[in-house]
Amino acid sequence: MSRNAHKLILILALLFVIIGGIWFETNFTFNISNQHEQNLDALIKETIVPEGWYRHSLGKSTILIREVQLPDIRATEPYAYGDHILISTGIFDGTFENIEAWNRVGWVFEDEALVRYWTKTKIIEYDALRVEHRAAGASGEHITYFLFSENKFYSTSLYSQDISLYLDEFEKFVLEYANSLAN
Amino acid sequence: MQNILNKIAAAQVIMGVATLLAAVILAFVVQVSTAEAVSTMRLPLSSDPGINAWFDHQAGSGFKKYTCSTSGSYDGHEGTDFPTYLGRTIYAGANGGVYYRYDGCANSGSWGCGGGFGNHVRLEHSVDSLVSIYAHMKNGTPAWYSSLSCNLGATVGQVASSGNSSGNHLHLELWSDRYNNYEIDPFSGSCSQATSYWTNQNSGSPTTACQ
Repeated sequence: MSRNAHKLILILALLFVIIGGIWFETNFTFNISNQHEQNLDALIKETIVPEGWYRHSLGKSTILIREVQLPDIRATEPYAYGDHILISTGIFDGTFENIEAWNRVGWVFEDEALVRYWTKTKIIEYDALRVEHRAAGASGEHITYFLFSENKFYSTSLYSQDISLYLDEFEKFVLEYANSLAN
Repeated sequence: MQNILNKIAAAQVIMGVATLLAAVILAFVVQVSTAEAVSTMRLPLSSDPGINAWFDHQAGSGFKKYTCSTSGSYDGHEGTDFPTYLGRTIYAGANGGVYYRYDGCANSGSWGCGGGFGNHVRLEHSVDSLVSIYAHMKNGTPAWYSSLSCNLGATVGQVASSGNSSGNHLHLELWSDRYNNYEIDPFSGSCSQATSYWTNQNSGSPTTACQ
């Protein structure tokens, strides 16, 4: 075999290793990433959407609004959708016993300008935090529930200019949502 | 005797006029010093990218801009939204110090994080108790300085879409004080207050001039 043939085989082998490496890295990472994202989707069953509200997707989160179509609000705040319920989820890497120290909800305990009232509670089997607070950036009010489950948290937040209009159905919704998570 | 009386009367008139003049000058000085004791802001970006959503002046439902136009934002908006690109530098609007900062929210989709403002900075201005808030910042960028100089181009963070935000933008909000007794539209106009909180409002496209 000539010297040139050796070189060609060596180059081909090197290319094979590089392409194989890229393929393995891409597929392996993609699978992991997909699995990770699926676990963090805030899935809402159609059956628990309260009457008169419509379910829409906001990335990996869900928003319930009073309109069938989700308006294009461009780059602003979701208060532009009007009254809404926003459901999202994420990784919980704190402890409920020491929830004040967990950064993701740190604002609840330190922001006197926005937070009116907070309390620890229990929704079915979930440790929960209920927070009444002013909207950041708009004149409406929020009631937000954080539900904690092992390494995840689930957040459901009602926003309205007049929170009393929807309070009962929102709290019923939170209960049904917790039930659907438990099942 | 009559001469003395005339002189006393003349002196009284002069003193009266002098007192009146002093009162007028004092009133003017007080007015001027009161007028100076208001913070005014520079545009907190290097140039104006346009405004996506304006402050709402309509009590109850509906929207009213500072010019009284009924389009340009949503019901209840209490800030001014500048849509721009991720990572763009945000400058302090006026001299002051950061008294509150929130960081650690993802750059997008982090609904409710930081109370909805996402990563943000609250700056209390030196001249008065006015507070300016720069919301939805990029993770890891909110500044934490006790003294910031507008003229030195102090920066407070970078643009993103953290917290309750549907896209990259700077939400600028003014509070009367740290306790958010009321929100202020920096723009003056027929449906807003008479005095602008911009150093140069420039017909709705504020400039980067500091106070």
